Formats: sequence, C-alpha cells, structure tokens
Amino acid sequence: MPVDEGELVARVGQADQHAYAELVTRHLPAIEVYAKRILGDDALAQDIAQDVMVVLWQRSNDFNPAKARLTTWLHRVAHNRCIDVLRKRQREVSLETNNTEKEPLGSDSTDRQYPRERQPIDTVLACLPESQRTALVLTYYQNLSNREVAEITNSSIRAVESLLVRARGNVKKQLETLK
Amino acid sequence: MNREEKSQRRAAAVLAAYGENQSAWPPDERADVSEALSQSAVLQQIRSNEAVVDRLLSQSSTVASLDAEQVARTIAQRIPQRLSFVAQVKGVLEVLGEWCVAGSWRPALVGSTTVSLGLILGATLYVPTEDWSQAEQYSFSVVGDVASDAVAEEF
Repeated sequence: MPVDEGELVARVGQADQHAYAELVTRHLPAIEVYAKRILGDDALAQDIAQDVMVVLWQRSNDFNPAKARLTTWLHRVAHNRCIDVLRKRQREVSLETNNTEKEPLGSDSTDRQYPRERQPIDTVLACLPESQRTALVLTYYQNLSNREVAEITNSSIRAVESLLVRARGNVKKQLETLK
Repeated sequence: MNREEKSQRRAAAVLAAYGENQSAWPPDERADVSEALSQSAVLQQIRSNEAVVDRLLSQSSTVASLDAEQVARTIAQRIPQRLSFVAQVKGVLEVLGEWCVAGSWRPALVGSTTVSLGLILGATLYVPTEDWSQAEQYSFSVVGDVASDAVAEEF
C-alpha cells in the first residue's frame, strides 16, 4: 500500500532520504515532461525538473497538504521556472532581431528548439501561445483538474476553459495546414 | 434561453474545452453533460470532432529521460536542507531535550549545572545600585527646602 504523500513530505522535512527518493520517483517524470512540452528544450527542461526537486528537498516545510496536492505544488514551482525561462528567451530573441547579422538565413527559434524528428503535434504545441500551451498541457497531459490549473497559472477556472477552447481550436487549424 | 438550451450550451463548452473523454470533464458536470449528449445529435457531432483532436494530442512523443533515483540521491547527498528558523530552534531543543532525559545521571548533571551557574552569576554580577538611606535624607532635605520656602513666603 503506497504511503500517504503528506507523511512522506513530513519525513523529507526531517531529512529522510528514502522518503525523498520515493517522492522524486513519483513526481520527477511528470515534471520533466511538463517542462519539455512548455519549453521545447530537453536540456533546459531537465535542469528545471531537477531544480524543482531541489525545492522539494530544501523547502518541503513550505508545503501544506491541507491546501493542495503535492503534484499541484510542484507543477506550480515548475510553471514559475518555465515562465522565467520563456521571458528571458523572449528578451534574448528581441535583442537578436535587433542584430540581424548574427542570425543565419532560414532559421528561427522554433526550428532551433524542436528538431525535425519530433511528432507534428509537438511542433503544433510549440507554436501555440504560451498561456494556451500551458493550459492544454496541464489539463490534457498532466491530468490536472481545471481548479488546479487555475491555481497553478494564477487565473480563474473560466479563463482556463477559455484558453483550452482556443488552444484546441488552434491545434485543429495548425494540423490542417500541416496536411 | 430555457433550461435545456442552457445545459446543451454548457455541454458544448465542456466538450470544446476538455475534449471527448469523460474523465477529463469536471466531475460535478459529467452527469449533466452525458445527459445533454444523449439528447442531441449536434453535441454528438461536436464530441466526435473533439475526439479527432484528442487522438492527435495523444501522438505526442515527449518522454521523461532522467533517472529519478540518481537525481534523488545526488540532491539529498550534496545539497543541505534549508530549514526555517522555527524548525532550527525546534530541532536544537528536541536534541537538547532528548539528551537531558536520557540516563539517570544527566538530569542531575543538568540541574546541578544550572544551579551552579546561577550562583556564580549571582556572586560575580551583583552590584548594589542605590543607597536608600541617602535617598531618604535627600527627600527629607527637599521637603525641608519646600517647607522653608513656604515659611519664607509667609513672612
């Protein structure tokens, strides 16, 4: 019978390495895949996933099991890290576009981050606006409830639903253009 | 808009947001959406359209590749935990408390050390701060001055 997560987190707070290993085994894959889908950069996503696990090790006392599930808490940390990276990337891209000599012809940021061997749906997801991609990935792939997604993205359930409708609509459109 | 139209509209919105899979729908709305679906061919068409999107989404090839056990071991062995001040104080007090109550000689040692420390501090740090006999004289002298002033005014 699996041990209750609240109990495992409490044990992590007392530096119990076995409890920590159990929680990392349960949550690291989901967090890594989430970051990969949001960022489209495997190495960066792995860094973020490990960073989230460091937060779990160092600040497990901040987690309140009465307020949220552990997976929601970890996804929120990962989401904030991903947003930071995306904002930084945006700033870098805007700087690069000012200096066009450095950019080789025919390349763009999407090509750099998503190698061609990926499935078309991964490319389509990468082309969605960040907020739509986040809502879709958290709901469809991470199996989080609309309430949890709203909590992670710091928005309302209505806003999450609106983003999901637009995201699914865009997926349909983009896949039609790829055919 | 009547009740039926309202529920069909909501069912369409749920399908458009969460797709065809019932387990993805908000739990408190599943029954209503299912009922609306059973009564409307338009909703069934919407559901089959959303099923196409779900099938496409399921083709994603993104997978996890980190070794969870190794990550856990590396972090736990190399990175110190960051405890809050309260947790640190609590930890120190717990260790101290456990040490004090273990064995029969430790409580006696703790008690005698505390008493000895108190006696030493008392003997070395006690300094009489005020001489009350002088304070009494001063107050008498003030009263005497005031009284003499009053007597002087009368004259």
